[in-house]
Amino acid sequence: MLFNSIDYLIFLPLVVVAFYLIPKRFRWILLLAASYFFYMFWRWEYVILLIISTMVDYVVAIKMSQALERKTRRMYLMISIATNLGLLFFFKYFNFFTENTVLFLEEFNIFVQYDFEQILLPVGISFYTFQTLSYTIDVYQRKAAAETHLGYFALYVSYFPQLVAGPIERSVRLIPQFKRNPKVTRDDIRYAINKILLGFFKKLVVADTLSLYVNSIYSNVEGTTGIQLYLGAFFFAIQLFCDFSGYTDIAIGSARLMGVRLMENFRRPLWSENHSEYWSKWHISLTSWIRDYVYVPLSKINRSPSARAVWAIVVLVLIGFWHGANWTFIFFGLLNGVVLITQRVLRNVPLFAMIRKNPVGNALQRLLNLNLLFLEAVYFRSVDVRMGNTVLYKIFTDFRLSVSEVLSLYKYEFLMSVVVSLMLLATVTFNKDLKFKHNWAYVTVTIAIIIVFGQDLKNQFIYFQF
Amino acid sequence: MYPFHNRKNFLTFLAPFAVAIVIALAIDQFFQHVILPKETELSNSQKVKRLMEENHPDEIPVFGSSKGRSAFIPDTLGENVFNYSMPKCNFDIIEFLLEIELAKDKDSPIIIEFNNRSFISMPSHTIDLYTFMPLTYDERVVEFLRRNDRLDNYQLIPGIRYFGSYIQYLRALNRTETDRKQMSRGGFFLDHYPGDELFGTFVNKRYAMIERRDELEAKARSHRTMTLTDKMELEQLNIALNFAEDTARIGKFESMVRAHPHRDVFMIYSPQHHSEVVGIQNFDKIDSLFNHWNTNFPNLHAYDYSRLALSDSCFKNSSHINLRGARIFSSQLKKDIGHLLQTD
Repeated sequence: MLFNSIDYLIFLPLVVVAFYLIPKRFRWILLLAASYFFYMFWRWEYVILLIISTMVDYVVAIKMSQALERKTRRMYLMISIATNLGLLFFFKYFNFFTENTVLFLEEFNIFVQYDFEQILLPVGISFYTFQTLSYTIDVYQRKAAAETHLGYFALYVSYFPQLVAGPIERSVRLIPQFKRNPKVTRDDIRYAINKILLGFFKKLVVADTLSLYVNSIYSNVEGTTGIQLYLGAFFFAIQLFCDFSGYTDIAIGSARLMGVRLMENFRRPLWSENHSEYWSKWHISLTSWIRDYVYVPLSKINRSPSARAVWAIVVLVLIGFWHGANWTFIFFGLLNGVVLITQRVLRNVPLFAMIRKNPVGNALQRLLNLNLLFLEAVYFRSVDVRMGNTVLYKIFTDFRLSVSEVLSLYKYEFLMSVVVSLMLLATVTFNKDLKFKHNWAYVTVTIAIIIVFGQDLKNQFIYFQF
Repeated sequence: MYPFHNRKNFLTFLAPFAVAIVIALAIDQFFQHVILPKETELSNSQKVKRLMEENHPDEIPVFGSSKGRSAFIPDTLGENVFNYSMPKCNFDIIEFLLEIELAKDKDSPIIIEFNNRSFISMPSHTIDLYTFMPLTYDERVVEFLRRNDRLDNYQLIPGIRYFGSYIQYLRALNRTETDRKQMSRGGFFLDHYPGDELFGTFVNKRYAMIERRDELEAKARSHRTMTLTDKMELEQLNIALNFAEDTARIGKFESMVRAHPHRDVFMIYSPQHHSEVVGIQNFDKIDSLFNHWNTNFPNLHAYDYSRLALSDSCFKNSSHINLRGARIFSSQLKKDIGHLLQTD
């Protein structure tokens, strides 16, 4: 089920009303049933994968907690990792690896006849796989206790607000909230509604409107100029942010309606001083997952500055690859890693340290960082690496700069993109904590803006494909 | 009333939603009664509305896509011609327009613009809701949208039925005639050639697609493995470049024509840039289809102007002719079939 669908607008209030009507001890049953219904609304068959992940990790965690020997616990951990990553690999990466192996062999005149078939990616698999893996790793490391109540654990894996696109929650944060059934106040409800509306605004008004311009530009790379491609890259970065953070806002708001506090996944990442800061504020639940379960263990192998630089690049390539089985995502991660390390080195140069301390210099540094992020996102949006290279090549070589040049193609889409970007700027400037003196005015105006400016493209959230 | 504790709190919570609903209804009615009626005859909605609600016994309708909209000049073709062509309109929509037209008690001819993608079925792409939503008071429109899986019940609710379309309606108001843009009874003609450099880019892009298609087909014939990416790319290129021969849809069209022998239907393949024509590998299928129609259907007449000799300066881009090209084409068409278009 899509958040931006009428189905969800019916589903969510029904679940919330039922949640308050039934006794607290039965609420987990309602939420579990609702979560499975939510997932099966897309394709019922793939719920089997969710059940497999849930059952394997439930049993493995209990066995791990009972095992006395580290070797035995490690064996159970391996079972969990193999099951979860095996499913993820098959559905997400199998064709990519097979294709590249075949192409590699062809370079040596070894021809393999293989009939590739499309494998439909189960929605949300990258998210719930990482979520359940964090649980078994935490149990293995004795950072979390094994959950003995199958119902609560199944709800942790499948909780509908964050099932298909995060935030990737840790068991120690989420399961106790299900059990505690925290009291919901009027402020919670107000915050939840405001957050959901903000999410819809970001998705339906900003991201979907920007997608009109971005899609036009990327479907006509050869026919567009450098400045148009640059603007396409600029608007895509904003689209991506609004699409994903919009989803997260709706997820956080939906959960909060029932008293559950999900973690914030974004903390104004685009206006960061450098890539290190950016990656600490963007998709926080994934970056913290990678930090805790990949970067920290890698750092223990070798802590030297050069090794840490390599680990940082490895981690960002992994984050890129997590997004999809395509070389574009690997390039995206690699570029981010290289820029991050370069910035880390330059930070220690006295001149750059001085610039950073100066307010104007600091603003310029943030602006430069923002531009680097736009340019890196070109690979994220491109269909293949060749397209990404073409876009960047044209941006850096085609300097036809004039207003008429900008408006020569897709004028309407461009002007609408400017309008919604300014709306977004106003929103993030005046709307920091979602607390308003006249909340009714905020709700009314936001709904009116969504109705008038929203797009009915039935676009999936970009992160659903991951 | 937990978590609101009392009814007053709960009602206070609901108040902004009620206000928002009132605003949504007000905007809906404002568009329904003030903005939409202001749209020109170039608007897709107004064209469909005109076809459904007005009966001009002598009118010769032209149905087609944006290619048709920019090619058939009603003023040149005859005083009874009205151009109902609209962007993205292929058989998905033409079938509906034909149903309406053929149900009328008329015997005037019908012109349909043909191109290599005329019979592709992709309603989610071709049937724009903002064209049809203002007309959902008519059961035929509702049935048509449902048949194509383009309508959910909630979309009939005032207040949200135009969601996502408001800006499109406002944008349509801005379509006025200028020195470079000319309108003529539903037709829209641009007096513009993009220049050799930009036009060359458009043409080169198409040639690059053709080259890539040939490359992938050669790969498919060789002993090398077609990856999934290759297969999908080839499929998309074939859809974009070749003639889509959907026999079921063609059969449906033929049966509609056959059921109305008193209506002459002219299927006209309007002029295409040579880069578009050379990309159609299965052009022989178009030739044989046209022959089939001309031989077996007394009231279906197919004419192929796709290779009409037009210089690059007659195009506004590599897919559409401009005013200059439209004038040459429409004059030629008038010369060839003008005598058959007489309705009195």
